This record gives sequence, structure tokens and C-alpha cells, in this order.
Amino acid sequence: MDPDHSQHLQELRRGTVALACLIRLRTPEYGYALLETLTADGIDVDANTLYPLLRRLEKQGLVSSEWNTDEARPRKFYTTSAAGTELAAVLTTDWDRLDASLRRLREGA
Amino acid sequence: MTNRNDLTARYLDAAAGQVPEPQREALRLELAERIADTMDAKQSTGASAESAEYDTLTELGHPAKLAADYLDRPLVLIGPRYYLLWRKLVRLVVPIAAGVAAGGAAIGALADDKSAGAVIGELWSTGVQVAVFVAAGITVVFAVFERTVPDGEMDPGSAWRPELLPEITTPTARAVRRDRVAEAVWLVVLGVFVAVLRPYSASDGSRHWVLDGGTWQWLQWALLAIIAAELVMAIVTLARGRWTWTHAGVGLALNAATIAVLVPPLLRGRVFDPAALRALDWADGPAQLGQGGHVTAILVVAVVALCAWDAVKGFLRAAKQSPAAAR
Repeated sequence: MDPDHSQHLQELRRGTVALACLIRLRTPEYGYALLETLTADGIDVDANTLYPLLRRLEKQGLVSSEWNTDEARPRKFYTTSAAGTELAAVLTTDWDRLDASLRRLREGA
Repeated sequence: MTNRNDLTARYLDAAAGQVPEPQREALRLELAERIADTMDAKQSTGASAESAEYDTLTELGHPAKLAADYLDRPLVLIGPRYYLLWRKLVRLVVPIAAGVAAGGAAIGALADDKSAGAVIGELWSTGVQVAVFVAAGITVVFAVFERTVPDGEMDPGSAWRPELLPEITTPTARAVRRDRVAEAVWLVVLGVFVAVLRPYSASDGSRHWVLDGGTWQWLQWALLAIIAAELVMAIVTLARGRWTWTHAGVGLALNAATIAVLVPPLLRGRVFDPAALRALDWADGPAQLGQGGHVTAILVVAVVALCAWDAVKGFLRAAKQSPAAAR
């Protein structure tokens, strides 16, 4: 891909990964499973982006985490917190508003 | 190193070693989960255990960088929050501190009656040392701020208001100011140097000033008078913020005076004391610096060339700035 294009795409998508995580983590999920789900749903995200992002969201209190030690491999499960749900609603509204604005701009031109 | 055994264990150790004790175990556990899950995914698509492990760790990247990401620790010494303030302080404080310290060291060395070379050496080494220490000190303080002060607090840019913008200065006024300030500082240093220089005295061997006592008696005052006049001119131009034809004329007169007082005694070999030159183990010094000597010729040409250039520079600046050129 054109390197200029990929840089702009990356900038455009930056905030959407956080929103996608907050929406998907309404049900608890561990890191790698989340990575696979998001990728399967067409949200392109790199592991080197997703894992630090989860930690940041946890630090900000937007997701909570719990270690599951039932299986042989202990895994950290993340869940969207109340604050995270609230933020997801705000971000979703803004996403829809932006989508409508861009549509108007395209059609008006 | 080409040892490919226990790569995962080594990676976990290397990354965990970069974070403080309380967070070490948490990082280790999270990272172990991530590595194991990623390796499983790679093996499920047909990769061997070894190559899955190798590729997974390669994708994770340098353990120190990963640990820095984990801690949200900055990977820059001084970030955008403090860079401008840091730059301003370094530019302002370092030259002043170095200049003051160098001046002090030079005066101290002169008071100890050290040779001219030793005084210059002292001045230079002290100036450089103080500049390095002050710059490093300022940098350390800001690097600590960068790592300890939370975002949003103590942001030097937060108190900025539009009325803090500097007054508009024309490019010439700015150039005049910069130039004249540098010149005034240089003149003061030169004046102090000329004022404390002592001629050679045979009775006191430690005084290795090679100047001739009889000539220096009047030459010192003549040079000090010229330097004082130059200083007054520099300050007047600084206050006016522009160069004028009058200043160019005064500059010409002062440069002519410099040539008039320096060149005749130089040509006649009267500036330096022959006994002093011999005392410095410079056997043919008296001949070289005497009437018709090679060094004498070089000195005379240098003095005349410097003075002539300085005078011409004054006229060039005045011409550039005269109303005719401005139109």
C-alpha cells in the first residue's frame, strides 16, 4: 500500500480500536481471543497495539481484569467497567454523528 | 550470541528485569500468557514449535522497549512538554554562567601573575567545563520532571497568554542589538585584559609579560581610551537600534587611532622587551619582533587589516540601512 495512505488510515483508525474493545468486552475476554475476534470482525489491530491499549484502558478504569486459573494456562480476562460502558456510548454517538457529517459533505459536493 | 535455547524464559527475565519489583510478577504473567497464546496460534497454522517461538519473540520486539511501554515510561529524555523551556534555559543560562566563570578564572590567573598562555588556557577550560556542567544539570532536572510530574501539572505552556507575545522588532534592530551586545561584552573583556597587563620587570622573574615598560606606560592608556570610546559607541548604537553614517565615521576615526598608536612602536620594535623574550628562551625573538623582523611585519599587517575591515564594515552597514538603500 502507498505509505502515505497507510499512515492516514492508521490515524483515522486510532480511536476506533479502543471503542471496539469497549464494545466487545461487555462479555469477559482474554487478550489473544479479543485480538482474533476483532480481526475476524474486520477491525485491523496489531498485537503490539492491542496489549498496551488494554493495559491503558485498565489503568484508566474503563475495563477491569481478573485472572482465570481454572485451566492449565492462567489467563487475564478483561471486562468493560461502568465508566467504560458510558464512554463507549459517548464515542458511538460521536461516530454516528461524524458518519452523518461525512455523508452530507460527500453528497453536498 | 547465537544461543537459541530457553528463548521465552530469557525474554521474560529480560523484560521483567526492566520494571520495578512490585510490577515484575504481573508483567511476567501477562507476557507469558501472550507468548503462549501467540505461539499456539502460529503452531495451529503449521509452524514448528521453535519457529513459532522465534517469530513470536521477534514480533514482541526489544524487551526494554516492551517494558517501557508497559510502564508508560517515556522513551525520550525530554518530551514536548518541557523541550521549549529546556531550550530557553540552556540558551540563556549556559553562556552567562560560562562567561562569568571564565572571566573570574582569568582574573584569578592574572592576579597570580600567570603567563598570557596560562591565562587563556584557564579562561577557556573553565568556560567549557562550566558550560558542560550547567547544561548537564539543567537537562537532568528536566529529565526528572519528565518522569515524575504527572501530565497536566506544571505544564510550562499552560500559563501562556497572547499578550505575552514579544514586541515586534525589525530585523535590522534585532541584528544591531545582537551584534552590539556581543561587541560590548568583547570590549569589556578586552578592556579588563589591557588594564591588568603588566610590563616585564627584570627584578621579578615570575612576571613573564613580554611588554616593554616604557612603551606600555603610555600605550596601555591609549588603548584603554580607544576601547572606552568604542564601548560608548556600541552602547549608543544599541540604544538607537540602528547604524548611521556618523557611527561609521567615528568608527573610522577610532580604527585610525588604533593604527596610529599601535603600528609606529611595533615598527620600531618598541612594544616588546628583548630581555623578556630572551627570558622565555626565544633566542631570536628580539630580532623577529624588532625593527624589520618577520613577526613584526605579520603583526603590523594584521592590525592594519583588522582595523580597515572594521571601518569598512561600519560603512557597509550604514549604507545598507540608509534611506536610499531602503527604497
